[in-house]
Amino acid sequence: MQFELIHVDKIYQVSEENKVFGAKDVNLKIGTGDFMALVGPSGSGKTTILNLIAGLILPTNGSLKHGGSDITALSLEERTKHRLDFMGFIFQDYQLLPILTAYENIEFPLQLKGFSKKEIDERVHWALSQVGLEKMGNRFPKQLSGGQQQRVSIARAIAGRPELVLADEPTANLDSKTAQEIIELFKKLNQEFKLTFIFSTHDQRLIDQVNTVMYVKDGQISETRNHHA
Amino acid sequence: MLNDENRYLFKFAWKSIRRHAGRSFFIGFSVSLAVVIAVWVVAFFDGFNAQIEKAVVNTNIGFFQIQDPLFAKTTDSSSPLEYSEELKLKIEKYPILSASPELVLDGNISTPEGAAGLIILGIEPQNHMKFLPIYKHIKEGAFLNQEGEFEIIIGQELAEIFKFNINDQMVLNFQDHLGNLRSELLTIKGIFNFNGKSFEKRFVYINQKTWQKLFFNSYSGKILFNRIALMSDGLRDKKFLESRIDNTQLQIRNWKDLNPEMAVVLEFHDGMIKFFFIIIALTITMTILTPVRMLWQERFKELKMMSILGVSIKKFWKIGFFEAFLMIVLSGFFSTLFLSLLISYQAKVGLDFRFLNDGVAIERAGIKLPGIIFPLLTMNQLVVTFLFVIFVLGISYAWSIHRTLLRLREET
Amino acid sequence: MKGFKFLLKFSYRNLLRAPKRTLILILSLSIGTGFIIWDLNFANSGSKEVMKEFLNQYAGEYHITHKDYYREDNKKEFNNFKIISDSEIPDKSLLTFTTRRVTAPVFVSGEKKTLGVLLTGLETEKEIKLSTLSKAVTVGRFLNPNSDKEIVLGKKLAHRIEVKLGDEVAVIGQALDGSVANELMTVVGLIDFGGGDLEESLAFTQIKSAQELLVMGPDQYHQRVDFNMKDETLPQIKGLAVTIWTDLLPEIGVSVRFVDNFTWLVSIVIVLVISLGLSNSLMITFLEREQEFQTLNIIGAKTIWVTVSLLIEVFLLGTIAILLGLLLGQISTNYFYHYPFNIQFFTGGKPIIMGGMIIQPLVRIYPVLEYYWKVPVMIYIFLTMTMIYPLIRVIRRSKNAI
Repeated sequence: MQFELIHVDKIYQVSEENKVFGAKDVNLKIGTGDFMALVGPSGSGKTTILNLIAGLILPTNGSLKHGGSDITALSLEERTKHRLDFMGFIFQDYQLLPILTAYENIEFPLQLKGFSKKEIDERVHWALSQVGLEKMGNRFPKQLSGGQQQRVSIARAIAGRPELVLADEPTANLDSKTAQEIIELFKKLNQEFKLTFIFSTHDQRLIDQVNTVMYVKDGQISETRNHHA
Repeated sequence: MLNDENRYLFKFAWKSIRRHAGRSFFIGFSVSLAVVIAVWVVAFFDGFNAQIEKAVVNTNIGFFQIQDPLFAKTTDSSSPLEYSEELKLKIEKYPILSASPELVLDGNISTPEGAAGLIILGIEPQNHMKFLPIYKHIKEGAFLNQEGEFEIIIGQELAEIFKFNINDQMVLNFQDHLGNLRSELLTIKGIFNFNGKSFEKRFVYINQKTWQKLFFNSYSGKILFNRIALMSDGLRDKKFLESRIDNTQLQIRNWKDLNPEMAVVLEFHDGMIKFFFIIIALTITMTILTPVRMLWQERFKELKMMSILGVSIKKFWKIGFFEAFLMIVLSGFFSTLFLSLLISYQAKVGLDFRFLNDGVAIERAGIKLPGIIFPLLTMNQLVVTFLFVIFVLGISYAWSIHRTLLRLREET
Repeated sequence: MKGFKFLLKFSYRNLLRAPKRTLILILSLSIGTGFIIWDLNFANSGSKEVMKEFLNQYAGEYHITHKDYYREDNKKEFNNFKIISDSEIPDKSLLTFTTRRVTAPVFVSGEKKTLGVLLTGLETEKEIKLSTLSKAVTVGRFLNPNSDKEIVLGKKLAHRIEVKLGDEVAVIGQALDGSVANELMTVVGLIDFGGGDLEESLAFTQIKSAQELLVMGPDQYHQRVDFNMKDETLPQIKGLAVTIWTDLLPEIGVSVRFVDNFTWLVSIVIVLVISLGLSNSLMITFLEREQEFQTLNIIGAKTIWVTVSLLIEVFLLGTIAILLGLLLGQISTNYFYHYPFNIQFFTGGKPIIMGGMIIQPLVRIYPVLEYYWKVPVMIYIFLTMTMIYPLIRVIRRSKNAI
């Protein structure tokens, strides 16, 4: 199913006369299996666009649609549910819950969705196997390396087979070897399972792997390049 | 002390408090609330105790009594002393507010309605009017004067039980100075309504002339006393009295000696309040310790960075001290302000505390205690307020800073 | 709610995140709870013990009398002409723990002085068995059941009329037939009630002597006084009055209720203070996890889920602390049951006088069951109330973007 941003602005009123555009006239279509990156300097608006897609913030103008339905018309709790049902998230600093094991961190969104215990078990084991951490399920985040934590974060994001995975600087806190491994994992998941990824990144290695690169400047997508890695 | 460095550190401390304004407020508010409650209870009981004292001293006891030596030893009325001008001048001086020389006689009445033991007080009306306001509470008839003979004023309760009216004659039975059982007719001049039923049933008043004629069969023409009941500002005036009657055989008793049951009620209240206060102080200290500690813990990275930059442990203590000082001042100030307003207001309008007794007024040792209490605001309480705040916040901050700096030492 | 078990696990694990801190929080609440339980037990059972001790000395639990003996509106006044006998009490089991008394308002004369007192004629043997009055005799001895015309005076009374052991006193009153009653009695003992009012106004003799003085039949008396402190209900006797001590000594009952109610007030204050401190600490722990709550929100956890998880945390913390507190309270109560508490602690060692008598200061404390559920309920209510602000703050701040 398609995600669409149509003429989306996000304006922040800093003062009476001073308006700042977090996003300006953003038009974006995300289809199944897309492997895209938002690229730009700090403060260019990449994260704002990610937040808009996720429904975490509402546009000042324009609309966000998913499968034709207007997401911006949903209430706060409905948008939260929408994120739970259709999206997965990967964060720069992993954002694992320290009191839960790897297994339980992955299990968490599945519990919220209301899957049965059997289904949860199957999906968690599938996700752990995809990220190569089958034997690490009962370890707590502080017992895992940075790379391993990010893999758990990825597993959490994909366990529910979301339609879209949003990743904000997923390789920023990793050493180059680990970063490379993670990027290859993303690629594998995209190719094997047609999982749709959209990244916000500075990492050239990741940029080189995506199919579509959107350059963001001052809240606007200034250029879109399609290429195959 | 207020050099540039200290001023800077002070400003830093203030900004730290403001940075976590909500939490700092909450900490300060919790301490203030605890201290306001604790000190208010103290003020309430101070007021309660003051009113108990007032109720007790307003039952002929006075704050003090100076008694003739025989009466002091055995309550024997047969050797009264003269209330001479010399003695009067010695005693009736500030801080003594009033003095009532009295002769005391045990007697009773016996009628078909029943019998009752009485305490017959022979008073000097002018002095007595300054001592107790019974003369203002004459329901029927009139108060005594110096000239009248064989006149008596009685309490309303006694009048009701024995169905006495003004100008009725009552037979008073007593023993005179020779031990002879005697009965005399006295005319009821006035009926008073004062200080509760027990008081009204027990005490009757006649003038000195009548009393001396009853007990000694003759009137000496002088004002005599078995005891002089005195009103003063408080029990601390005992030293003054002692100095005044230094070279005499006269004995001083204070109201606590004369009514030990009520004295113990006050001691009990005081003890209970002190105990309660300590519990509150310990409880709030324990519960505030954690949030204050956490305020310092979460700044650990910052402190570590500052330490790397060259800030010494001594300076951290200074910052902590300034922070604690500011919190103490703020918390102490608001507590004091709020308490002063609250207690000043309640000291005027009073508080009906009978809800603590299911709506009934307390009576102890024959004395009805007031149902409306006026909390008492004293300088002591305000000092205690500040000390409380200093104690609680001081310990919490000192402990938190100590633990954080200990960890800093270990890690750097 | 689906996944409640997971939610529970999540909340429980959060308590273990900082074990020392959680322990301090639990300890502060549990110590407060324990103290409140002990304090309430002390106030309630302590006052019951004090009253039992006080009533056992003289006043008794209740009095069976003629229905017109005590004045309706003032039980301090009585009509001495109203007498009863055992034939008017159908239930003879009532006679086991009760003793007969004859009351006589009389004058007692020493050589020089006469004072009005209440002379009480006692069934000496029964009085020794049922009450502790005889133990209050500190000079001389109590009455001899096989003698008569003996009198025991209050110490202060004896002092006032200047009599001592072995002296004879004249007792003068009004007999029930209207004649003047008078008798000479020998002082055999002095009672020490601690210098209170009662010491000046009470005297005791054998019931036979009192009956003879007042020209009463041997089976006639004024009061049957009950000393069975375990009595929960008052007997109903047709034609007679049964008056409980709280009506006879209302001022004492009121004082006891005052202490009881004041203790509840203290407990509420302590709970409020602890709850404020706890909610303060909990709010800080919640704020520490702000980013985590944001993550939860982002990955799809609704506000209600987060709120419930926090409430469960607080509830778990509260429950553990309360259970521990109840245990502490019970242990401390138990300790003071075996090693009675000295209430002169509050008066700096000075004796406590109540109703004209010195109270025995050692008080056994025992648990009162109703406090073991009332106090937890009160704590839960306060905890919940003081958590509202921190929860709202945390929930608001967690609704942020990446």
